[in-house]
Amino acid sequence: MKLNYGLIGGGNGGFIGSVHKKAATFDDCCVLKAGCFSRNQEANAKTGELWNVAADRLYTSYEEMAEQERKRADGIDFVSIATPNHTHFAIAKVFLENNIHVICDKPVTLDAAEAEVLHALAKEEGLLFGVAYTYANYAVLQEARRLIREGALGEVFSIIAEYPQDWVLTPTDTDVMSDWLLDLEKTGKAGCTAHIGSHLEYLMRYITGAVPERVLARFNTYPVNLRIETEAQVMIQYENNIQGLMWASIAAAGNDCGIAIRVFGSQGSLEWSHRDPDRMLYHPLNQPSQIMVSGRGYLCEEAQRLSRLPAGHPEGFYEAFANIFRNFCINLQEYKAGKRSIELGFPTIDDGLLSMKFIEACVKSNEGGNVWIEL
Amino acid sequence: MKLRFGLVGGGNNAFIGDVHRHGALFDDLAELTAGCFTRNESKNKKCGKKWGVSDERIYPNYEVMAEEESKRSDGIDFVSIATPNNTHYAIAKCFLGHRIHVMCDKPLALTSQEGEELMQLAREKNLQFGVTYTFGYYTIIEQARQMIANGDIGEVQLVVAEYPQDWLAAAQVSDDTGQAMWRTDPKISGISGATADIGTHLEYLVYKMTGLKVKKLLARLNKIPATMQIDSDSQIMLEYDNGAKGFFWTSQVAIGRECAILVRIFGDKGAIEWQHDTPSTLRVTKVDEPPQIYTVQRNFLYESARAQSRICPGVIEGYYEAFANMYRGYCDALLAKRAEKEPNPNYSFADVEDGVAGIKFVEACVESDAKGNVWVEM
Repeated sequence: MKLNYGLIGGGNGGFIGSVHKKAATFDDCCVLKAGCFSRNQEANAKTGELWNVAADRLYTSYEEMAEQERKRADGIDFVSIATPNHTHFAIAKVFLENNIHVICDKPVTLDAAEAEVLHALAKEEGLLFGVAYTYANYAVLQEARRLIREGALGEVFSIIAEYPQDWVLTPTDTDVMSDWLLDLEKTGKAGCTAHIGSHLEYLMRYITGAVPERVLARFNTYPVNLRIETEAQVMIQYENNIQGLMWASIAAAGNDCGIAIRVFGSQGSLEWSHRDPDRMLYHPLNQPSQIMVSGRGYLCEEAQRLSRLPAGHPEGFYEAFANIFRNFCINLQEYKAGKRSIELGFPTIDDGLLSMKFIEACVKSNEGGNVWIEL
Repeated sequence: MKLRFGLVGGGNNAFIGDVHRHGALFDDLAELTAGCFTRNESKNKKCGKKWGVSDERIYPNYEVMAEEESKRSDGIDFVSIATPNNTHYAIAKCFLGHRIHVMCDKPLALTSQEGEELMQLAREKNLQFGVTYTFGYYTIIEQARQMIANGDIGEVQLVVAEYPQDWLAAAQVSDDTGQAMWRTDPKISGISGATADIGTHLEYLVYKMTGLKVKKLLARLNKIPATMQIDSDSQIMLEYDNGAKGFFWTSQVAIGRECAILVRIFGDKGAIEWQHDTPSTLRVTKVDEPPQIYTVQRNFLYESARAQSRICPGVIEGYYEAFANMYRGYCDALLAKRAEKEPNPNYSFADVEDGVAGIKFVEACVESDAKGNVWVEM
């Protein structure tokens, strides 16, 4: 039996809502049964018709949706939240309170305090709470994780990652990016650090298992008249003497979405770039470097599992996103079957909370004159 | 109102059928309402159920499906054919006969005679017939097409393209008989292996990018290993209708390459290169200027190229989305026809006529090789 789910957002041509919808249903793990796609009645109805949602399960208020869906025997199992940052907290809270599992876009809230509330609530209610850290869900990165976990890189001591984009310099290229992203009231305390730095923080931690202890951050703003930082340079100190270095920028001319990560250890290193997400470079010390390719039989089981197509057939952003939903749904099915100690295969509210702490620490560090701040 | 479509093939964990399904559904232009997914009865039902098809519209064979669907007022508008090569002709003919539009995987049929018959039938009955030449529909290809059409690289003089894969070499080592079985069996695959299976993709992709048609060709088809019944590797010299010279290499035993299509179009004023491993970029060079990298969704692209993208720059739309682009063009055209409007000029799809050209290409290659690698006129 497939899971039933609902979607908040996606109705007004917003970028990520439509992506959530395509990703959620990609692997036939769930069916869209309810929605509050827009607060505008007409837009809501139009989207509902397009996505085959029955009229009585279209809501113009998410509160009403949570309450009504809870009451139904065939009510949604989980809700997918694809709205601007400043609405995540309120929406997620209402659904958790109505005993509905949640998957939410990132960053999960505006600050750590809100994230703590959601974290506690989800735990209390025993509900699953996923957060959409897309970029960590490309198949070949599972192989990166395995190499590190099994000691192929020896003792890891350095993680260097970057996320350059240039959309703030090219407004007409970016009709999918919205004005709210430049409004501190809607994004939270930080700009690009929250918007894209959070992706990097998760990626660095997820691939290596490294636990961040403290950060030293420097924010810059180009063009200078903007209220938010458009660039962040962050030094990270992890447990076990691992050093991290992060660079995130939305003003890096000539870059589309150039996420890249390099992990260095005593016995080798590896690198991955979003420009070529199906491939990873593995450099064992004193041996020829290797190119690992998604979908290949020589990759570990966890990596092969995330590829749907034969090697060489690119799976992109939509499919990485779909991996999150697929893993979430698998775990939710286990949960519904009564399992409680489930090994969760998707980014959780724990990760979301850590992101918020990370962002706040970066803000504090920058405000304090670029000093070390404990997480 | 969305279109309704049916799928023949795709059950049994086959590769391309499910990709067709994803492609057709991706932009909410069509819904899957019928199917004959596999001839194994229980697997057929299971597959249909998983894909949300109601029980009475899961059919044991395509003939019954075409018959029943054509009688229903809510019958399918089009059928997607995703079965092994040797069944395309019969299935397509059957659905056309029942006045149902067709989208068929390539190659269109095993012989050009069959292909032409299908084309004739589709035209007579005024039915839309698409063929899924995927690689021509990656988002950035439209930019290449526009640049060439607008003379940005001058007159095309030279085309060099390759399509190396290694699944067959791997299958032979592992004794895997999945894809290997039917693709290397001439009874199912036809008179050619690699040239028909992947050479046609190159032929279409170059045509899509340049608009050029092959005038004559000289082919060397290789059976590697020698025990193969049909070619697993080929080298083809071509001459196009404008005099441009071309060279293709296709291989299913090129160890270390997954699906590494590389197309290089050289004009007298510049060049454009595209490779499948980095599908969202184009390498563009104007003579005496530094090579440039073009990426999707950027301001500097032609409008029609920008119109292909669904999401922001730097985020890759892959194989599924290329399929979705074909179905978007196909469905848009069908919906436009129904509404008596003009279709969106930015969307397109390969037509049955392109499918016929593909078969003729393969036949010419086989003939050239059989005659001792001589020039054969198209």
